[in-house]
Amino acid sequence: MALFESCRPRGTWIDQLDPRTKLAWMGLMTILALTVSDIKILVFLPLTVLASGLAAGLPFRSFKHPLLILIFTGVQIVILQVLFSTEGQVVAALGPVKVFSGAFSPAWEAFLRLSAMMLATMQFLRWTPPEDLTLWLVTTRVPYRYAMLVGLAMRFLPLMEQELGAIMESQRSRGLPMKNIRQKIKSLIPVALPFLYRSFRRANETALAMELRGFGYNSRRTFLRQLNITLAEIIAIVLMGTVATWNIWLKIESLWL
Amino acid sequence: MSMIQQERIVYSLSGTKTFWRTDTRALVGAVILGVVSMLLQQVSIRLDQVIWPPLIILGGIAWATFTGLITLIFRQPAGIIMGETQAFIAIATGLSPVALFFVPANLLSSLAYSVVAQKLSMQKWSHHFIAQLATNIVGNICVAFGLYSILKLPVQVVIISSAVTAGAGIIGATILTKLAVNALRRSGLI
Repeated sequence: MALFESCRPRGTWIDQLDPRTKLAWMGLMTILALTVSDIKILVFLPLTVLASGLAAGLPFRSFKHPLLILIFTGVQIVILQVLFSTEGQVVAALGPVKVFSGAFSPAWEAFLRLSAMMLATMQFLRWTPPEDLTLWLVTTRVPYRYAMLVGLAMRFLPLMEQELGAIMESQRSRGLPMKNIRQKIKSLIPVALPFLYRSFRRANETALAMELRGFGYNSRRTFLRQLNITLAEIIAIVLMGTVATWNIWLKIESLWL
Repeated sequence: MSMIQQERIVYSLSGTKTFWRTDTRALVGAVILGVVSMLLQQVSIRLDQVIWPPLIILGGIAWATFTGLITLIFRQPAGIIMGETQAFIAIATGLSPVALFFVPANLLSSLAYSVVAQKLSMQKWSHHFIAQLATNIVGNICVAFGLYSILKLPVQVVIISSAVTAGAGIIGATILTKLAVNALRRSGLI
């Protein structure tokens, strides 16, 4: 199962939106996830992200893998809290480990915060083409040599994931056992080293190919497409910015008092 | 002679004392190796989570090794680019509950490594040890804030967890960085 699914046009309204609007949405969800303390609102956040993703045409199966990872991480958070929290009353004793009633609330809160942030970031990467991000960075006066790197990272992620899979498969076919945890730990170096070599070689080849095509020759460059933001999107960004700023202000105020 | 080869010669002639390196090879290398670092960390941190969730031993070693390796070979801003690429993907893939704190951790630890690498020749084991000491201490302080504020773990647990992760990272990454740099030099890739 692929860890990361690259962005592809789905022919829905989301393809028409400017990357700044999508970025503002991701930023708003992340800020709300970090600043809101009310558990009801925190439950609402990941659900909102999921609903908006489905409304934008992302199939539910694209959230299946992230949700599995979240469940795995959620279990980890609960274990941590059960092991170390000493808040509240003892509700159970598992040998030397005492489980306190105060362990579950912070675990649930941390899980919801992480869910909202992760789903919002993944959603952003799934519905924003790398070229749009590059164009946006260029409009913010980031030199294009650096602006191109964001798109490059997003392009290379699925490719390198396939490459890692291929190296693991080839090591397995050479007889390297990778069944239990101990074998998997022992196989880390035999997998990581060829992967590192291949990546260096690929980086050298890519850099050479880019330079031969004139990358970095001129300090300015033109693009085939231009970003067009509508008035409705500007209003939406301003509203999202206001809500985010208001929440940060409330959080700072609550910390001071 | 290609531009890459010319750059390599200029680089080897100018020594390893430079702080900034903004040629295409360094920038592209930083991004690709940021992705590689992220993928290997996915594997190692998941193994850590299965073994004993509070400690990120394998993940910590992988992180410190890549931070050192990329910063040493490609310098800055490649180290920062690699770190931030890795941090952003870590958030998007739910790698860790404290993934948001990887953003400052990767930035500051890469800078710490650069400062040490600029002052020392990085030819001896002790130089690698000092560089990894700075990297791991700075990085783990940032992550400790995450453990305290997001996971709300007791201060004592945070200190012990960070100290063990940093200790393993310093020892493991010192050895791996030195061996990997030597292996890459021998293979002619850097």
